[in-house]
Amino acid sequence: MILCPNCHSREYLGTLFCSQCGAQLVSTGRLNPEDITTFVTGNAAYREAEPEIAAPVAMELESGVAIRLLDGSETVHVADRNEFTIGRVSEGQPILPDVDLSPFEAYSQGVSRLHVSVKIVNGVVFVTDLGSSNGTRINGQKLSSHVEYPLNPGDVMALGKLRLQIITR
Amino acid sequence: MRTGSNYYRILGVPLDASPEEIRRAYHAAARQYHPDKNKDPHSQTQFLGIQEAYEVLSDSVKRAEYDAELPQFTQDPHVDLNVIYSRSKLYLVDEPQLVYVFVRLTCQAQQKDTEASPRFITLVADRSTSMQDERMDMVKSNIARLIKNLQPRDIISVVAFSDRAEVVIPPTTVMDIPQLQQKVSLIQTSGGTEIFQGLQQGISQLRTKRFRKANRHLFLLTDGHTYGDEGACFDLAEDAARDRIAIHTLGIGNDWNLPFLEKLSALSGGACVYVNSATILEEFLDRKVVDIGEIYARGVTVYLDTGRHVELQYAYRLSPDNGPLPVRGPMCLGDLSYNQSVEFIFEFKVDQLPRDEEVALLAEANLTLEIPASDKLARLVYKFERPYVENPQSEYPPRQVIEAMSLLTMYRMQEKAREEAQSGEIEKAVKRLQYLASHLLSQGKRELAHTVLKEVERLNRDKKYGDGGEKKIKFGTQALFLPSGAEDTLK
Repeated sequence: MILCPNCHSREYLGTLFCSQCGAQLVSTGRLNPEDITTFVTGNAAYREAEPEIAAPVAMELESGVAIRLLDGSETVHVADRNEFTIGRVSEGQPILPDVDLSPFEAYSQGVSRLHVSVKIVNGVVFVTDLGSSNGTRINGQKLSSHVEYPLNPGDVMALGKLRLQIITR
Repeated sequence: MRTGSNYYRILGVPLDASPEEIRRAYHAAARQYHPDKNKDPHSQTQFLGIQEAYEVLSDSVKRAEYDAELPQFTQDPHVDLNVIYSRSKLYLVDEPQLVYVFVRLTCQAQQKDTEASPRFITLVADRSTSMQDERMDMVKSNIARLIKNLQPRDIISVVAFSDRAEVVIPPTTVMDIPQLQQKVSLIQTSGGTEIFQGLQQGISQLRTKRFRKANRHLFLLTDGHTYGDEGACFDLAEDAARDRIAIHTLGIGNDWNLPFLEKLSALSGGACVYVNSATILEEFLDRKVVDIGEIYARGVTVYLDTGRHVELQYAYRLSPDNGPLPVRGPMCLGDLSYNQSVEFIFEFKVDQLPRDEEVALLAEANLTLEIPASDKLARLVYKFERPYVENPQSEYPPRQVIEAMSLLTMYRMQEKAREEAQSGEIEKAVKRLQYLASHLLSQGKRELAHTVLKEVERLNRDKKYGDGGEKKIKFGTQALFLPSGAEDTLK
């Protein structure tokens, strides 16, 4: 059993919202009530992302992870790794990103040298913005930097203006 | 469920698999689970199951016998089932736990104009004395508007009822619009309300043999209660649902019987609408006329077989129309259209985990739908199951589940408050509504929050809801599920 911090009612393990007072009982990493409202009212971003969900599922993946660029519909395969960084390589850079997006006009699209880190735990993809200049968005929602966010299959991520999806096997 | 009933599933082949496909699937599965390779007992049972399945399916006579026992269905490649769980794993604990399952059905096919079935709409209008003047005028002008929105190949029929029913327009293709509108304008108000009479007449119109292949929808418009014939009405609705006739109920004003109309529409996967302004009626009918023209599959029905020690605690349809689903018996979800997904969410309570298996079966869903374009019944079988672990890692629930449950929690709070108020537990109801109002405020739904707080005042003062108060709150929380999150429905 878990205890609702708000009204102290006892709830079953795994309950998401208190059955008595309606308080949210789980941390969602990024969803607070304001975000939920954004989803309900500003539905456009959510709807737009939808048709793209079907495609990656059908793809055959050679390695564990791939990055699919939505604008040129190219795919970058990442060797079996559970943690890597994405960015672009430029001269005199002390730390290089694991995945270099410079072949895809990363600079003009506003991708930072070290833009995001990606971590895969139990098949769930987590993304952290590494303090990029132009920010990272998931389905149009801006992420706070240095905070880990989970990705759902089919979510569209934008590094600056460069839109992509992370696909896992 | 009989163990043999999923041989196709065991081998992972479609119902119409060729012998060659079955042979290949068998070899692949047998290699994977062969006792020489796998020593654990689970693989052994798997291996035996695979043998059994192959024995039957590889023999054309045995397979035919086995198929004959299965209902006549085909699989449909155009329907996509997307399932999202609230967590990736269950916890291996000695206490009950909850898990939520979000399901989205989408149609992958493109609509071809040549294939679209015509619409067959029957309007059943209450013409009792209470409908006099304003209400009747609103109903008439909306029927006239609906007729105008139909196409020449569509079929319309209108029934008016009081304590008996008469056919105003028998099933007619929409050719002479002015003449049809003229007939509607002649409906007079008088008498009582016997919904059974109207419903029966309306459904018999829709059963007209000539138009059997059309998309058949009935709209019941009433402002009052019916007495003594509720059970008979439910029987009619269940019967209609079997023929994939959908019934939508539209309650006008504040005095209609909410639980009755809601159940009546839910039985066939229809919508129940609170009509407290002409705009709502207009918008709903306009939307339905469009939707009914874009149907890919009709009468989507889910039969759920829960696993051992698993209980379905709550089921709710999120889209296209939203409302609670029965936790027992078949769940009618209405139509799947080309451009809109059908979404629903389940809340399962797992009392105990099966320690002898690797995964816990939450439920097996058997989904049937009728595809008018190919004149076929299709079936989808899906197992909701989760692995379990002793020390689960904390994870974030998926966005879709959280968003749906956030709205559903508010809906359920007002349902509970309504029950509490009915059984005289005013204090509890008040407290719950206050919680609800604060959630609404924190989500920026000021208007609805204000409506809720006004009812709190009334409950404190009169010990009951104000006129239409519970309907305003209920339909207000339901409106939050709509894409626009439209609160304006209450203005």
